Amino acid sequence: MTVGHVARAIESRGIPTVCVYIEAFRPDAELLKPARTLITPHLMGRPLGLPHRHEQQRAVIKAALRLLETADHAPTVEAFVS
Amino acid sequence: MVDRQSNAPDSSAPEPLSLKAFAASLYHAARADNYFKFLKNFSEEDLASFVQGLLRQVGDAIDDSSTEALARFVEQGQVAAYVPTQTATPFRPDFPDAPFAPMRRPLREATVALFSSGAIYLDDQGPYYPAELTYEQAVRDVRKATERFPSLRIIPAQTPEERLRVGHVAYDIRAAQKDINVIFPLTRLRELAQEGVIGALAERSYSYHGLTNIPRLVQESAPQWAQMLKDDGVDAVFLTAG
Repeated sequence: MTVGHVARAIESRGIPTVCVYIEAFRPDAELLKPARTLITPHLMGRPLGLPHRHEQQRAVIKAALRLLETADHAPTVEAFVS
Repeated sequence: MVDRQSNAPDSSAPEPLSLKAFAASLYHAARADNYFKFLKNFSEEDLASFVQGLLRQVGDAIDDSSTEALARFVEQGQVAAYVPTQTATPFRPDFPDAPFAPMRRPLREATVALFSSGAIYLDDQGPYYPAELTYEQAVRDVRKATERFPSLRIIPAQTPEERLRVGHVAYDIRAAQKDINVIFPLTRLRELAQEGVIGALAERSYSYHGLTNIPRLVQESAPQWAQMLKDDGVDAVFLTAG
């Protein structure tokens, strides 16, 4: 899982990041420690949820965006609750 | 001449297919299936339990006209299969620290870029695996499909969905082909910018293929990409994992 590495590099340049990971890859986020991670109960390849579920996708995105404002330390890992 | 009355086994008959062999064939092999390739991680006994449970869930899904419980069952199977395998390795170290950059402006004023390892690309860009491979061939031969040099695709903010393609060879892409927003929510972020939830979607968003040369990604590409985002002047980056 490379997204954690990329997020760390971006954060090190002074740009805040938030990553969306599925639950199956939570250990990867806990090891790589990107600054902010939202964990979703979704299947591989569908971290924001199922096709055409616009409201579900919006809810996940908003929860991840909220972490940008509410996380006051790294790593912050939060589970998405629908 | 063959003795048709003989009970001797035919030595040319194929070996019976075990559940383990079947599961192994899903993992970038003869029956490649990225949706259920996680079954390769189960023992024969756990496989039998999973398949039995899956069949029960399928029956309920048919009767109830609802797939929610079935989806939860499969998701729990993925978690059980993958979580124990993610231990610290040189490519996935247990970092002692975590870089942190606070937001410098409120979200409603922030320019946000989308960045995904999900191997999204535009219809006039090439996929990430070698041109001589079809997608199906790339799924079955991940060594050939793995990039030696990480490459990046620039996805402009106003790109219509019909121009987006997905070519990741290690996750099942059918959902993304039906609705790219399941992994690359460009449209959703455009909408949120119009609604004022974020200040703006960045002019450029990005994608790469997570199946790539990881040392080069970590040591060369990621720092370059980070500088590029800095030059873009974005206030935050939203990343999705493929």
